Amino acid sequence: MALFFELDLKSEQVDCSKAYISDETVYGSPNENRNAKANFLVVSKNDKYGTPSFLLVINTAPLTQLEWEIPTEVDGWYQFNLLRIPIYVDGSYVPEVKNGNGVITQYASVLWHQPTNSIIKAKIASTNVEPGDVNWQASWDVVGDLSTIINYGSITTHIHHDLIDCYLRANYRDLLEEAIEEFGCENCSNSAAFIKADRVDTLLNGANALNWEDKSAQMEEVIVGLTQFVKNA
Amino acid sequence: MLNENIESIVSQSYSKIGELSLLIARNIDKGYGKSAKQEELWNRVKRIRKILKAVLDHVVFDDNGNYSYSLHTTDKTLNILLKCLVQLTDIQDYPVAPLLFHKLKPRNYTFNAPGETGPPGPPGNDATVFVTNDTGEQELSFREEVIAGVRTFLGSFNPYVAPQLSVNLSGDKVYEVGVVVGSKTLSVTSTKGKNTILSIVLNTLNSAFQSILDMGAVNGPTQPQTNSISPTNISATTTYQATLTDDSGKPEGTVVASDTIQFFYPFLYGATDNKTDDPYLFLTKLIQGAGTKSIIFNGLNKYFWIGYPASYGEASQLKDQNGFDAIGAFDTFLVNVTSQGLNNNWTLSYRFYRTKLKTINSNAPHTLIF
Repeated sequence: MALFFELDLKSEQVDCSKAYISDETVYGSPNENRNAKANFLVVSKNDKYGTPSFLLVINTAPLTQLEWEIPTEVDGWYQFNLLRIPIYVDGSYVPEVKNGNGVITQYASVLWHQPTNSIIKAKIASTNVEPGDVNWQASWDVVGDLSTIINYGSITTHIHHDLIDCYLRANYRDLLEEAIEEFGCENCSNSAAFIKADRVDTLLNGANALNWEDKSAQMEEVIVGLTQFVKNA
Repeated sequence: MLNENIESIVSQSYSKIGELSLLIARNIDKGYGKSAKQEELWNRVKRIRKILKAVLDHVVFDDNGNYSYSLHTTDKTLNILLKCLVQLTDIQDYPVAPLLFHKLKPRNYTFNAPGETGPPGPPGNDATVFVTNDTGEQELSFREEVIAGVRTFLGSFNPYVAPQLSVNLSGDKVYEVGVVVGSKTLSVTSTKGKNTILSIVLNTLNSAFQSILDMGAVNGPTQPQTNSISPTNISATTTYQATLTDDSGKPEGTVVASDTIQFFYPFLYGATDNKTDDPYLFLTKLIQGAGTKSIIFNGLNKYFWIGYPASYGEASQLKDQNGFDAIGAFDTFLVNVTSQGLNNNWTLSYRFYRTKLKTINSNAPHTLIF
């Protein structure tokens, strides 16, 4: 029975510069324990074409870390990739093999080596060659860029898409306060600020609807348009 | 009654808000205060949101997707609101877009004895369903069906079936050392089980094998599938081992199969007229590995021989046709034997047992025991 992965985006900070995401997956019997593999989070801010810009995420303790801090410079589509990587033990490991069409027919062994806290990818078939052994580099490459192994066949990748709209929500609140300060509670709906706030809220509602439907690219388009609206209107 | 389709209508209204928001966002530079069409879009979304909010004020959804009416709400008031929503969102039919399965609040279900349907379990955080039989835990897959607003999940039991694999070398598989086998056909036959086969890897000649391996066919509807390559110029004992792995992650999802071509120095046995005759030329070859051998001696007034690579050590017995150990009637000695007529001739130290005297054997079975 496969694990049912669940990543939850936690509340954003007041200054909107960062958010937190936590792994809420229920591990353990009948499935594997969480610490049976090393857990790494890779996060990107995607544009409307799905092109990712990878963000700096600190993975401190791959066996125990449940929450990560995410820098959030702008609102929009964020992609969270939880990589679960087998832990190195002595054994036989295999390199990547491609057929004549360039299609991978055998995925290389990708492992987390606990003593050196490094992720390694097999270059050749080997048995019991551990990082640190003589000439171990002949058998293994160190994976420096985790984004290169997202969805790689020999590891487990859980992908979660979500909307971060902290800056726009703050803008909405500011507009409401502006309307109330200028016109008072009874008449603020007549103000330009209120009308603008209402429209910000409307498009945020639309973006959330698209997020709810997993239409991430369209959601990003709404956020980009809304950001432009806030600046120009 | 529209309220029978409330979930579908609410869901589609929410989708409509997203759809219209996208239209607005794509034309935002013609936006607020600049375009009548854009204004119309803003107002339409605003109306949908307003009515949707009113509907949701009249209905209370619980964690399981069930709903009940708020205080003072009647079928009539709710249906008026839903009618407005249907008009504003241009919903042509309903239920048209049922809620996505993963958006529903899941429940745990338990089942009674096999063949029976058990009562629903308590609300939970996980939609996992367990089916346990005497072969252990198995997966149950679901298909969603919505008819007249009634959502039904149809479960089907689709147990795991392990893949199968065999490896076969064509023709003879035992040769004399020194022979170079020009070409063989190595066939790897796989049968897909329940899961997709991720890889089939050979321990040798894997690059050549991968270049012809058709994973599409391996996972295709026609099973089993055979992929073949031709090892050439084989001159040493070689085991061709294939490892198949499917995507189940189960131990039985990895299957190993192999076939081996073997090369041995021959046992030499038979009869000669002279002690000085070249045993390689005058004796019969028995191409097998070390171990007890049964042979037949036949001849009149001949020296009878049997020999093998000296590295096998001395024999303990040489039984005659009557079951008696006749090894005392044989001289034993070491001599270098040189092969002839092979691709790569060899010279090797052999141990021979040869009768001390010329004697008679009439199709007499003998057994050499180490």
